[in-house]
Amino acid sequence: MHAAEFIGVKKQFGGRGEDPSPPALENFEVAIREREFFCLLGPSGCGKTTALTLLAGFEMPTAGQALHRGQPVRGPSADRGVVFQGDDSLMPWLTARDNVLLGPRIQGLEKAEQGEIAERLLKLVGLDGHGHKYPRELSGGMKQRIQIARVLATEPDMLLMDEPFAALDAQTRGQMQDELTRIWSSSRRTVLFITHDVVEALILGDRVGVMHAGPRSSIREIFPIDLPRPRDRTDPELLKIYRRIQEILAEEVQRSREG
Amino acid sequence: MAATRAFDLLLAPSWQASEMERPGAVVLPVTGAAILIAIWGFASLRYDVTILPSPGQALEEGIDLLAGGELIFHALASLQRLLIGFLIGCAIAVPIGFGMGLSPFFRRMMEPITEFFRYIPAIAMVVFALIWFGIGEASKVFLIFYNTFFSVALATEAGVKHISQVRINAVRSLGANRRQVLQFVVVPSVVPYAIQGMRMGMGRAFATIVSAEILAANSGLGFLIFSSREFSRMDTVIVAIAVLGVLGIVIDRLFRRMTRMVGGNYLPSEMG
Repeated sequence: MHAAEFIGVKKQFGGRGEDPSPPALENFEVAIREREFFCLLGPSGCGKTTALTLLAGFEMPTAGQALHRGQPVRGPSADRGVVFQGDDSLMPWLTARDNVLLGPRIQGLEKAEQGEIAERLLKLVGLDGHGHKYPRELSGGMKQRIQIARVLATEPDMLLMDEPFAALDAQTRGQMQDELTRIWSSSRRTVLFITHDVVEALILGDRVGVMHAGPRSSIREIFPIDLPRPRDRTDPELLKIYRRIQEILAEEVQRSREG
Repeated sequence: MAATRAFDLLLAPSWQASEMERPGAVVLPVTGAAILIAIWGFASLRYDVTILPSPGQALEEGIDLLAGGELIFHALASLQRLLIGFLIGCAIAVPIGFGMGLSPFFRRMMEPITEFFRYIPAIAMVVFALIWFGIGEASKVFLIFYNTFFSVALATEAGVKHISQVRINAVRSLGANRRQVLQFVVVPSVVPYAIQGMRMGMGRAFATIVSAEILAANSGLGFLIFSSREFSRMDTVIVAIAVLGVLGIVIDRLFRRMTRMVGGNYLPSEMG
């Protein structure tokens, strides 16, 4: 069984004929394997995030199915933890530590257990000693680390990451990618990672699914990345795939301009 | 440089300003107050006590009134009306504000009412209140209620509307059920807004209570001010005004502290 699967998915926003915009996704199909780091890559506006929201359960497909372990997704669940693009998903009235502990508190874990989880996760994401700070006192990179710690605290079956590093400066982004590789290698959960950054996808992913330009987008081609981690951004093998994907993306952008 | 700093202070939300830590925290306010009192003192030299008593005379009268128990009696009368009207107003406004924020149906129904009364000051309702609620406590309580209600209901509605969908999604994918979404996102998001509304409502209630007591009451600071006119007791008037000012400052400080307690790191201005 696949960790997650999209079967013949179509997603159209603005229902009941009030807005006849074309569907964001059409015939969108992809299967994500158990313990795989899958990157979904595509030009902006191609519906990558839409795919993620369907698997997260924030939206329902117009047609077709989004499956998690063979079961249709009916709504959000702690099985599928989400790391959002913007840091506004953190609760600004809670400290970093309390943000990390949201999940355990919702699940009603004992205080002692909570303390242990908070210490372990803050340490894992390299923020031990910052637990008492509020989100507004943390940098963009630190806030995304808190988001990652928060989502790991509920031990989800799968991580859904929606361009979590897109808003960071290039240096921090590179650092976060390396950190994520380290964190992922230690727990090996299934990850669906959305990005428009080709290098990011190649550094992180076991496979990279490149999407058509939207609307009516679907997967165009999937690239397996059989390179050991941590990966070198200048690896010739990686650069070869990089060039191939850049060509495809250029084609897609061109095509969408003409269309 | 100094101008930039002043500008920063202008931009800094008041609840973040920890006044006590700034240089000149004590000296500057004391200087300001001293200047005012000095001007008053000099001016009073030229006038009769029935026109402008000196600071010393006012202080003397204040001590007399305090010792005689009158000051406390009138201040408590005003405070009691304020508090009862305010609490009833909040108790009704918060649920209605929530309803307006959550249900477009309910909002459309309520909007003509809130829009209509928004700009009708409580003082315009005085006669209405007197006819309906009589000269006793009820009319004053009604006017305070009237003031509080609209501020708090509209602020609560704004708070509910500003709840971030991303945060709701975030806790839902951490496993939160409906009750927990309410507990972990909705309530903490709305409370700071509601408190801001309460603070505004309380400010307006202060203005109203004095007018209402001047027009129809046998007690309260407004009554004290107006009844002193008959005996040309300007010193009593000044004492009553001073007590009002102090009460206002104390209550506003309480609200600020409350705001800081419930959401010192998360306040409405964050969302513009």
